[in-house]
Formats: sequence, C-alpha cells, structure tokens
Amino acid sequence: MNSSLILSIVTFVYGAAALLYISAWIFQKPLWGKGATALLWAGFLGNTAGFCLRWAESYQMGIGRIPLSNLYESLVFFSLTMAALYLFVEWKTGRREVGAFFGPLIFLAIAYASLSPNISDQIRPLVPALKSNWLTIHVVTCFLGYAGFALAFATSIMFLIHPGEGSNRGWRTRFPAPEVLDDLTYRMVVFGFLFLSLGIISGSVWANSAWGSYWSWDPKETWSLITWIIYAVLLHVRLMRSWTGKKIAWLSILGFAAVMFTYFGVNFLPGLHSYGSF
Amino acid sequence: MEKNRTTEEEGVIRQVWMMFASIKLSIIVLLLLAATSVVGTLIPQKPGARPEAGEGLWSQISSFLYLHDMYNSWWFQLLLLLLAVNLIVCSLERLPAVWRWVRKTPRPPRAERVRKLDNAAVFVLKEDMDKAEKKALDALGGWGIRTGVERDGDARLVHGEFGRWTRLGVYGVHLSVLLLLAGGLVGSLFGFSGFVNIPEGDTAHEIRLRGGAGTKDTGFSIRCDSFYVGFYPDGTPREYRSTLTLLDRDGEEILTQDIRVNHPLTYQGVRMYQSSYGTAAARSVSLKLIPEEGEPILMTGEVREPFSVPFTDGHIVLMNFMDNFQLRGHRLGPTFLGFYESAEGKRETLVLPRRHPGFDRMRMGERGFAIEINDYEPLYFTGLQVSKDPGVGLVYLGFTLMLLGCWVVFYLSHRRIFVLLERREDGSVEYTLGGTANRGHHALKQRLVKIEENLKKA
Ligand code: HEM
Repeated sequence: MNSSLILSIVTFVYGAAALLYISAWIFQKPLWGKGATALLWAGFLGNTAGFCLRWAESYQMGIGRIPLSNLYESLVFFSLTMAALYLFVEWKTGRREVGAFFGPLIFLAIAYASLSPNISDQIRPLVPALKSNWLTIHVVTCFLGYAGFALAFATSIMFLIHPGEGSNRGWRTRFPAPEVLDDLTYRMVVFGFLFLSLGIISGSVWANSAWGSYWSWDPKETWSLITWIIYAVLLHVRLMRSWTGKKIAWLSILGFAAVMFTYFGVNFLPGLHSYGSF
Repeated sequence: MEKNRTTEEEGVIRQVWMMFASIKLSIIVLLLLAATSVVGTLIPQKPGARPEAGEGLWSQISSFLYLHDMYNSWWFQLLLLLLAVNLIVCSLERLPAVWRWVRKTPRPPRAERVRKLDNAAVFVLKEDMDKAEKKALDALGGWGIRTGVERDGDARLVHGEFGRWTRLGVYGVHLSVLLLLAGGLVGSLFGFSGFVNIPEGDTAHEIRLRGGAGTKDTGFSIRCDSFYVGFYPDGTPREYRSTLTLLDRDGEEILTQDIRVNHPLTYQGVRMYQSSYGTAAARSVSLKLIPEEGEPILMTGEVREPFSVPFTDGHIVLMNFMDNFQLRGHRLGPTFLGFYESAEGKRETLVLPRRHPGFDRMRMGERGFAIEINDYEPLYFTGLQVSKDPGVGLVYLGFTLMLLGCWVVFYLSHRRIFVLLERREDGSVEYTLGGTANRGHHALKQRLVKIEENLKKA
C-alpha cells in the first residue's frame, strides 16, 4: 500500500461523494445527503492519510520533506483543504446543497493529480531554495486561501442561477435562500482574503530570506497580487457602495478565475516562478 | 465679490479633496493597477533595460511607456502615489469621527430601545431581582466585556460593551498599505542590489548592480575561502555552501561564516546570498592521449604548465578554462583551450570540450594522436547576490499590521449587549436580552443565544 494508491482510491471516493451530493439535491433525498457527507468524510480522512504516508515515504527514501512542492502534491493538498473547509462549513450551516456544486471541485483537483498523464507522482528531493520552513507556511496558507475562494465561487454560481425567493421553478429553488448564499460568499471571500494575504506575505518573507528581495514582480507573484486586488475591490464595493447579490457574485467569479490563472495559467507566460514547479 | 472668489476657491479645493477622499477613485486606481499588472506579465520584463526609442510608432510608444520595465515606470509609480494620497486623504476625512466614537463611552440606552432591538429575546424567570442582576452581570462579564448597571425604579438595565477599539482596525489595514509603499520607496532610494562572482581564494569588494546600472563598492571586501556543492543520488543539487571571510579596508579579517541558500550573511545591513556557482578554473587536469596505434596514456598536470608528449617530443599547453565555451553558436560546455607545439616548433590551437571527447579526434589532422580531457579538479566560483534594503523593516511592520488589522476587521466587532430586568406583578422577573454590533450581526446573534442559555440555567 503506497500513498499514490491511497490517493487514487480517495479520488474515486470524492467522485462518489460529489455524485451523491448532486443526487440528494436533485431527487430531494435527505438520507442520500447524509451518505454523501459520510463519503466525503471518508475521502477527507483517506486524503489526510495519503498525505501523511507520502511524507513518511519521503523519509524512507532519505529525502525527508513535507509533500508540498510539486504540482501533484499541491493538487492533493488543494483537495484536502477544500474538503476540510467544506466539511467545516457544512457542519456550521447544516446545509448540504452547496456540496452538489463544491463536491465536484474537490474531486476535480485530486482527479487531475491522479489521472493526468502529464503529472508525475514521484517523490523527488528538494532543491536548496525550497528547503525552508517558509515553504510549509507559504503553501498551507495559500491553499487555505484558494479553498475559501473556491467555495465562494461555488456559492456565487448558485446565487446566479437561483431563480429568486418565492419562485417555484423546480430544482433550483431547493437552494439556500439568496441572502444566505450571498452571506456565505462574503464570509468565504473574507476567509480567503485573510489567508491569501498570509500566503503572499509568507512567500515574500521567504523570498527575502532566500535571495534578498521580498518582491520581484515575477509572473506568479504579480498574479497573486492581481487576485488579491480583485478581492480587495470586492470587499470595498460591498461595504462602501453596498453592492450585494449579482454584482458581488460576478466579482467573486472573476476573482476565482484569477486564482486559477495564478495557479495554472502562469506556467504559460514568459518567465517562470523562480521557485520552480508551481 | 472678493469674498465670493475665496469661497469659490475653497469650493474647488474642497471638491479636489473630496475626489481624493472618494472610494470610487480607490476602486478605479486599484483596478488600473491590476489591469496594468496583467499587461506586465504578458510582455517579458527586463528591469533596468532602457531601450532607445527606435523608428516605428510601436517602439516609440513602448519606450515612452517603459513597457519593458513597467513596474518601475513613471506612470506605474504615479498610480501607486495616487493610491497612497487616496488612502491618506480618505483616512484623514474619516478618522476624526471614528476617533471620537472610540474615545467616548456610550450612554446606556433607554428601556424602550432595548425592547425594539431586532434581536431582542424576552423571557420570564421566577427569581429575586438582585439575584437576577448578579446573574446577568456574571453572564456578560464572562465574555471579557466591560459591564455596568443602571437602576430606574423597578427596572434595571445590565449592559456590557466589547471592542470599541476594533473600529480602528480598518485604519490599521490602510496604514499597513502605506507602510508597504513607504518601505518600497525607502528601499529603492537608499538600497541597492547586485551580483558578484568570486573564485575560491579570491577577494572582491565591488558588485555589478542589477539592470546594468554600473558597479558599487560595498565598503568591505568579501573573500571566498571555499565553495561546496553536494548532490542527491539522482543528481538533484542538495546543498550549495560558501565559506566567506569579510575583510575591512586595511585587509583585516572581520569575520568568517558559511552561507547557504536560505541562510544569508548580514554585515552592516548588507546581505550576501548564495545565488549561483560555476567553475572558474581547473586546479589540475588529467589528459588522455590516444595515438593512432597503441595504448592511450594518461597524464596529469596543471593549466599553463607544459605536458610533454612521449610519442612525438612535442608538448601541450592548456592556456584557459571556459565554463561554458561557445563555438559558432554551439554550446560546448566546460572546455579547455590551449595549443600543441610539435618538436619542429609548429603551433596548433586546441579546443578540448570535456563533454565531447570526440571533438579533437575529428580535428587531429597530421598530429598523429588525439587528446581528450579525462578529468579535472574544478576551482569553483561562488555567485553571490549582495543587497541592502533599509526599507525591509517598514515592509515587515506593514505585513504584521496588515494581518492583525484584517483579523480585527473581519472577526471582531464593537458589540454592546443589554439585559433589561423588570419586576412583574407576580414577583417574577422579565428579561429582555438584546444587543448591537457595528458588524458581524450573525456572530452577535450566536453570542446572545449562548448568554440566554446561561441566564436560564440556574
Ligand atoms: C490595497 C489597498 C487597500 C486595502 C488592502 C484595503 C483594505 C480594506 C479592508 C480589508 C476593509 C474592510 C472591508 C470590510 O469591512 O469588509 C476596507 C475598508 C475601507 N477602505 Fe480600504 N483598502 C485599500 C485601499 C483603500 C483606499 C485607497 C481607500 C481610499 C478611499 C480605502 C477606503 C476604505 C474605506 C472608506 C473603508 C471602510 C471603512 C469603514 O468601515 O468605515 N481603502 N479596506
């Protein structure tokens, strides 16, 4: 039993959980929803176990490092943070409809890692620049932030397709009320903003300790700043111009597009993130 | 008339002031910063390069707008300045009112207002008034809240307040943005950053500044005593390490220290980072001479010292080592350059790339034997980034303040909680529990539910 195998199994568990969330919502079966939650918990625990096992394996190989340093590992960890945040929110709000939209995202991240032929799951040693405790802080905070934004993205989509309170047009009315979705979007943006700030700051402090410059406008840094600015604008227009609802939902979708570009798109731009693989 | 003009002028000044105080402007500036930053990631940036305005319109525009060094351009700096002015004016405009809010202890509300609060809960408990008051005080005090009691006839109002200061949190966030901008400015005015390559055993006191801005004397000398690079079994570098000694102007040693990636050395505010390495020269070389017939032989010697060739009576001298030699556009990698002189004194140039042992064989001509580099012991140079940034302190202060400020803004609020106690005809006490908060109404509601549970308990 190695970590890659566990994580492949987790992929299917997450996929099944997402399907069950969707079915529970469409066919209005609360019991299926409970099953979905149980499956998601199972996936989350398996994901955590796979993460820890991979960490242990790296020690057996004499490399000994936290598995947070290439695309495969970061996607696995992204699923982990998304599942954790979602389970927390579900527990707090007691509603499962968001799972029908967010479950697929949790599944997609780890499925991309496990199934894409371009992504290697080998454990490679760390180059000297990555050997720093800041690596752990930086990656963990960034991905917690991304998870918050991803959840805000899901609730924003739900808000936009919600037909409105009182309307009685089938499946979409089975969502939480629009105000609840709007409020959830806002809270997730706030959570994401706090952690993205932490992520950018820890990355900056690390860059300064690794090669003496806390900010050098490389594309990945710049895109994280762009993302941060979009969400800062969202917070301001919501507070000062009292925007809510549709406009905020669109801004949050734009913000999440910027998150995705920071994560994946930057690799297609001239010049690489100096730290390498992601 | 005169008076009119001044009020008119004041009107204009006021308008400009209000424009700078407006949140609309900040949103525009922030979005412009984001949009132009996108452009900067699409066009490859070459900081420091100042391309001459060329012929075509595009190259004129590009050089005017600094499209290849956008983040240092006049207009990008102007946007940042605009953001700073906007923030300062906006804060000056609002802070005084908020400050008054924060300084003043609010007066307890009237009973009527407490009853009208939209989160007010009413319940009746059979108990003594004094006991009820004490219980209510305990319930509020337990939350780290400042409490007090107003007595008005048969009614008592127990009130508690928390976090009036949290209204200042957002100014902390905004101040932090100003600190970051200020730190960046200080760094670019009074700091420097550059590179220097120092071969093992050598000393340097000048660095090449980034972006081709000339050289700079660091004020002390850096000697590279030795350099070490270690690899994992699969060839990935494991560690780069330089032992550096700093010397003052008179050549006196100041200190000796190892530096590694992520572990720089700081002296007088100047920081030295391990950033690259390479081979500067070869300490000793082992050559393999391959005659057309017979066994090859190995010889070991040094650069610039002749190797005598046993089968021809000629000799070989290696003059130069190049870490990455290029010949007609081909990268040959580590290469020795030198010459072969035959017994008759005829000289022939040698190019001996380590990684292409066949290279000389193709060119050996009438010499009668081929030469390969069998091995060499490298003399490394260490590549250091040397920089000084007196703005880092301000920036780190900004980082701290931003995180603390965001925490306060997002997760704390100024809350007031009231418990109105009124005696009823039958001797029981009617509780009205409610509260206000400047934000986070949901969290307040949850807290009220908890307090209600506590009040009902005993
Ligand atoms: C990068 C720059 C900025 C950041 C990171 C930032 C951050 C924030 C944050 C986190 C909040 C609280 C939002 C909320 O409560 O939901 C806020 C509120 C606010 N910001 Fe900014 N801000 C920035 C620039 C500006 C600028 C340039 C202005 C200038 C007008 C401004 C004016 C305000 C105002 C008036 C508020 C509301 C304060 C209140 O609650 O009374 N911000 N800002």
